[in-house]
Amino acid sequence: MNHLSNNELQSLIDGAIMNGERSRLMAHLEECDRCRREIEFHRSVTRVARALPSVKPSANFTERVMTRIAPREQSAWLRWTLNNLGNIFGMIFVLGVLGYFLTTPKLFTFQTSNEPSKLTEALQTYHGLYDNAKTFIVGQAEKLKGNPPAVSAATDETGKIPVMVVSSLLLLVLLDRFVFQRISRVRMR
Amino acid sequence: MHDKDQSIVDRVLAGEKRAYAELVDRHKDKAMTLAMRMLKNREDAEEALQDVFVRAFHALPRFEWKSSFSTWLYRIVFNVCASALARRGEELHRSIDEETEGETFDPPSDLLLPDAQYESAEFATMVREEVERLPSMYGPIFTLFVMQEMSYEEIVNVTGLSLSAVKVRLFRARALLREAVAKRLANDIAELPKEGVQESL
Ligand SMILES: [Zn+2]
Repeated sequence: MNHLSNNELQSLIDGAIMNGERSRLMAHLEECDRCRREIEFHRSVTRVARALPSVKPSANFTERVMTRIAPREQSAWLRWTLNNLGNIFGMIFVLGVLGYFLTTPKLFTFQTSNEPSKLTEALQTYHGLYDNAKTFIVGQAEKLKGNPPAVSAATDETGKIPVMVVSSLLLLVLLDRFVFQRISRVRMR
Repeated sequence: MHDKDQSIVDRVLAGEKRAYAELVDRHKDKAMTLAMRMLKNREDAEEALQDVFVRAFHALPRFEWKSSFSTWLYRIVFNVCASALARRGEELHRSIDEETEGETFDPPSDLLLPDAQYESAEFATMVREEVERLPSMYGPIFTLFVMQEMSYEEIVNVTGLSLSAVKVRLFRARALLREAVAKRLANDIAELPKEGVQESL
């Protein structure tokens, strides 16, 4: 007795059997316990496999896909700020250094010789102007606050260290932006 | 089903990007099952599936509805996972011997099927474990046909295999399952005297 070929078996399991073939195969199944069991087995496997649960990806799966395809829109100014971070820091740095030196006139005081040179004269003029301006501004500020005008403005030394720290950081950012990145860009080309 | 996919796709293409999340949610489980059958481990499957959904998103404007969305998506799953397998050094499209249909099949195994209870939970567990164990060549085809209820033609569309190769692989998947499950059923019957011990486990 010729048992069903695998091909015939599969066609029967999937219900994809030609009409002419069908009666011959059914006749065989009538008298062959073995082939009948094969078909019953495969149909059971199909039925069970069809009911198996799917494998679920982890809980944040969809969110991760969405972050990759549609990153949250940044506001325009934030994007501009991020893109120009180096320039902004550079500008603050320059202003900081300039401000530091301009508000600390005593740094400029150095003796070159006993005779006052033109530079020393100019610096002394600047010191005078600066002191006057400071006294005036501080005085106005105190008046606004309702305090009696104070003569002292001894805040020169305070705030220097943070200015120095920030300036150094900014210098690094500036170097990165204008020197290192430019070098790497040239290298990439 | 089809219409729902289409309306979501329309919304995405109209600029409502966040609607794509609905599409991902609808298809991720079945797509993950297919990826698991191919790659055999969760991390790889999930990573591949991330790529699949990102690619599908960018390819969406070119999708022409010649097939259902899921068929189209599974084709991407199949391709991405096949590339991942190739990177691992595993070849999915093997020799051409399977491309010729039919007569050369092995005859049904000599290991006779026992008169077993195919309704039992044990049988279901065996089938699940053995389906998970199917090699990457056959597991995906079996999954597409049986679990996703695709036709031969749809599987041809998804895998790019010939019709006869699809039939051969499907049959080999079934033959492997039959061998493995029959062996386990036979072992269970051989261990029947120890049934008391088994039940206490
Ligand atoms: Zn027979």
